[in-house]
Amino acid sequence: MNYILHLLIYFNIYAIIAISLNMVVGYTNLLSLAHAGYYAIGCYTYALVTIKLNMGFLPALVLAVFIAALMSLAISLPAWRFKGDFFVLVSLSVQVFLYSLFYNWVSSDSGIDTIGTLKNLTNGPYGIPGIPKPSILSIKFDSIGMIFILSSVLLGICLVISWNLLKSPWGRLLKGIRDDELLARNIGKNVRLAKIQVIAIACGMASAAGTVYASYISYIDPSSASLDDSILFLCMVLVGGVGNFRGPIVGAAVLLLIPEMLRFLSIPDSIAANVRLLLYGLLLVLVVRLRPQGIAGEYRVE
Amino acid sequence: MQVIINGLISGMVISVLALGFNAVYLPSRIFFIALGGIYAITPFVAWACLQYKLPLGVALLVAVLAAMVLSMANEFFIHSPLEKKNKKVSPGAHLISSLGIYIIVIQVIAIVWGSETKVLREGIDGIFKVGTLIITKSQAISGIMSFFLIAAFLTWLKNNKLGILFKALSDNPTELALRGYNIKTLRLFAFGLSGFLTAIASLFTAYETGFDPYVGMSAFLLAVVATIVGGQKTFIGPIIGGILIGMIRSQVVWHFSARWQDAFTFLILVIFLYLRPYGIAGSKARLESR
Amino acid sequence: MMNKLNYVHVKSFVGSMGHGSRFSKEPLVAEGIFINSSSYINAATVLSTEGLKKSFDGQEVLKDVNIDLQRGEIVLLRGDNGSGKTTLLNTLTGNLEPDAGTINIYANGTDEHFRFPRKWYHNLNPFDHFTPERVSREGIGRTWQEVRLFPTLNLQDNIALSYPGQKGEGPFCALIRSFKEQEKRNLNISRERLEKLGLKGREKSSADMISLGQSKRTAIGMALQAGAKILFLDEPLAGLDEAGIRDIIEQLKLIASEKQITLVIVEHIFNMPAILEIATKVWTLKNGKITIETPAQVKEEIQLTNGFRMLEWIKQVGGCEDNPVAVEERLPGGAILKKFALSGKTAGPIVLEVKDLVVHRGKRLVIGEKLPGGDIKGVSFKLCEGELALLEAPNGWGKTTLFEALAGLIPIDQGVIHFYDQDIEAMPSWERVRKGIRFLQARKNIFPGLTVKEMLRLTKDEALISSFPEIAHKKGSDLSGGERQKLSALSLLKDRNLRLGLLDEPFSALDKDGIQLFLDNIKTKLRDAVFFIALPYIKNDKRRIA
Repeated sequence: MNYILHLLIYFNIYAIIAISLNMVVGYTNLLSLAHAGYYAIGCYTYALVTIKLNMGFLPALVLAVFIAALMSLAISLPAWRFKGDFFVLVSLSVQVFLYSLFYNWVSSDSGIDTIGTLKNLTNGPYGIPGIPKPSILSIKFDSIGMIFILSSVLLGICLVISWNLLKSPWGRLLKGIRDDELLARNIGKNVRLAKIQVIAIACGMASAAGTVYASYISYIDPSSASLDDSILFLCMVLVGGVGNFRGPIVGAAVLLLIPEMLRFLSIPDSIAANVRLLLYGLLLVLVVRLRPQGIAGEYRVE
Repeated sequence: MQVIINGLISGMVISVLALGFNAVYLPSRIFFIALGGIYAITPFVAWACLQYKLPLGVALLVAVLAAMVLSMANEFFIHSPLEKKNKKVSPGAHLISSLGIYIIVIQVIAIVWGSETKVLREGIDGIFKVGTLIITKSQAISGIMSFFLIAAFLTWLKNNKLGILFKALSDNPTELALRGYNIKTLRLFAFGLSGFLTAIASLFTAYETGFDPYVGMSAFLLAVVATIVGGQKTFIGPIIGGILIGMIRSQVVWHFSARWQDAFTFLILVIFLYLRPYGIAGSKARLESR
Repeated sequence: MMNKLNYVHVKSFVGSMGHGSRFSKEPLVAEGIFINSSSYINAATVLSTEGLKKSFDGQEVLKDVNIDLQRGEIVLLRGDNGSGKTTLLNTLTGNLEPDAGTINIYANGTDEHFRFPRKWYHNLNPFDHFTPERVSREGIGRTWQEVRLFPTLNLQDNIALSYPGQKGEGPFCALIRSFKEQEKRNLNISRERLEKLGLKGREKSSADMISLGQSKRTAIGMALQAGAKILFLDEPLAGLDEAGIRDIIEQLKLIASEKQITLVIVEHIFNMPAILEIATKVWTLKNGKITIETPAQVKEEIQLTNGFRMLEWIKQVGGCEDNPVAVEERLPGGAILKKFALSGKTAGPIVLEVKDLVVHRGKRLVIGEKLPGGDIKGVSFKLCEGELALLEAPNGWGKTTLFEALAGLIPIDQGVIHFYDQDIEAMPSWERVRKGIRFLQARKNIFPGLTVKEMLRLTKDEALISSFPEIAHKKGSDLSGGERQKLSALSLLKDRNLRLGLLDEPFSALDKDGIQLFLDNIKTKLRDAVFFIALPYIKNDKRRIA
């Protein structure tokens, strides 16, 4: 039972990320490889403010979302100028930059108590241990069941937010921009602002997912911000499908089930991670070739 | 001075790699991310040959050939069919497929050979002393061979019939087809050439500093940055860009630390993309409706 | 915002919308406009420019464009291919920044002046860049030659989206749903507008399921909904049949008279007569400058020049004494295929036979027509030895697409292409070249990075170099338009293997000598090859809307 809850918590986290990335890829037609970086911003922010400043879950969440949204300008400003392949390149650069930020902001002579200071903000490759479980208004969410409920509630909130946003005039504007950006500009729409908005919201959501992860696992390190993870997130969205709501959910489920199915094939642990990634890569190639709109999506990424 | 020489040599190797990237990008506008995979797998193939007690020269040759074959396989199985399927080339599809191939290749390497760093060279590098300068044997080899390779490439482009054809392919593939040339085969050749250049650049670096499955992506990104900074519409561009990036990186290592090389590289990329997106050797293209 | 010109702009009382007039504090005279207290010159100017310049790759396209557009005018903008019509259109609608000059917009009740080149501090304000969205705020709208709509939205949403200043378009308001009122009103207005455009009942139709005429009307509706007071239309009649043309002309008349919207219409010579019936003024763009003419003058000019020119050179090429005989075939979409049997030859064996050809570009049907039942009927025709074929069609019909399909550059969806005794639909383009099919593209037909010598070496035409001694060492990118065209045309015409020449608008970039050289070469080749030439011109035909 606990194991299933564990899986479901991961599903919730991935689903939130998929929904957020779907807004960027499926509604503004920008392939971003930097999403893991924003997810990690959520992880690290939560870790640092709960350990150092003893904040509760909700204020930490709000802060994490805010910081990620602010830093999303790093990819939304270039989105004004660069389309297609160049945007991917820029997002890749941001990814590498964020990763190296998390990895390198450490000084060699620091101990555990210096984490969070300017000299050693992230503790580099050693990561930050001992992150407390979430607490809201002095209710401690320290059992796996409680965390499952918390993550599900968060997923629900994200779904409601996305739904409302995408079914509104703002959502219609995004669809228009996706269809024909030049036309949208010529009828007077401020496309640049819209892109900033959507990317900020998406990065904020990814960051929220990060806070749940950090509070559940209690330990984070720069690997959460790795390029592999960004590729994984992109896979989720492309394989599951973009442009609607089923797609990202299906994508999250598929990508979660693959490692589980691998267990039954008794693949040695040392290469299990590699086999998993290999399958993702294979899925990407196959999906583009055979079903560009993803398993459950309705828009072809072109 | 030492820093400058280091930079120059590493820059030339980057130039070779950047030429490999542009050899595919110019004629087909495909962002060949799988190049990173080819870069990564080449030294492993050489290493495997060495394990079978093959002489070094043969091992290197086999590795280069393997890279070329792999590169051409990309075009044959992935990119060419994709282009036939979609009536207009959808660059996103090519890019994602290439990314998928990259992931597959890297994971295959990790599964077959493991993820630890390996070396191609037995023992410590030889050293040459030129005045106060210290140049390692591998640096010398990389430097001299890269130089000749670049010079040969430029000469080939100018004088050889195939070289001119290749330039024409990069300029205007449609018109070339309309003059009766089989551009499908030519594109395959472009991919093969790319594999060749990538393999050589990879072997230079692998010989000097060792290799692991994950060097591919950063190498690819360096090639792209060099191409954009130098100017992606020509073949001179990547050469200039490569040398420039190499020299800047070695300055960063000297003044700051090796850890910040990548950050600086991308800073340069962003600056160029904003101020001079057509690169050093490029010129302002016709601005169509934005 | 910054009023750099020293003159007083006085607004007329009638028809002035929005805020009252804005007076500049500076005194009166500049740039030749003299105003004294009792005359309201230029009182109804909605748009003016001074000294607009624009160059591409060193070639000056716009040299010194000065225009003055008055409210309610219907202006036809005309010019040859490559004269810069599209450049001017893009500039005035904010899609392109000119190199120098000033653009002044008074359409929306405020004075906006844009001076180029823009000073660096202008670009600091992110809300004041010279962009389409900025210019749209000032009341300028446009449509495109290839109709642009939002294909994944239905018609109602297309129009509703165009409405400016929607609260619901900010994510915060969208989230707390405070846009409901406004949205309801918006949708009602959209439905009304669709009704006025004659599209009642089709609100929920997806934008990619409607006919060409309907989509053109929707595009106009969108521009109007976005608040356009000046509407720039890029070849609005392209690809329409007679009924479609009548519809659009009616719409435009209505818009201009009822809503006092000023229209600037770029139209190609093929459809110009229809526009000339409603135009109040003509701007002719030649050599980068605009001359103003009256519709009557232009009508006369068209009558005289066109039919004359074409028949002349057909006679020349065909070596006939009298007017050559032409067999005319109508192709779907408004194109005409004219086949001239050249003197002394009876029609020989079939060289090219096309049966039921259908070609899509992406989702768009280009070659072929949709029948009411939903089936698609393809294009069919035959070319025989001894014939010279002309394809006359308006821009946007798909002449280039047809040629590309015949040359093997793009795949076809349906149909058979028969060349002599072979079916070549599956043959790649380079093999068709070896069989003798050559295609001369209208543009981009040389290699910019290669020198002329290298290009000729490529096509094994080294002998040709004697025709081009002066430019042998020039790079493709340094050649002028005329030189490029000459080079590619001759390369093709000297091909000993040539059996079928597909020439896409070959005359547009050539000068008089170039044309002569071209015609001489075609003449010699006519013995062994068939030529299929695409042209945008047509002799004024009384059967069409005159």
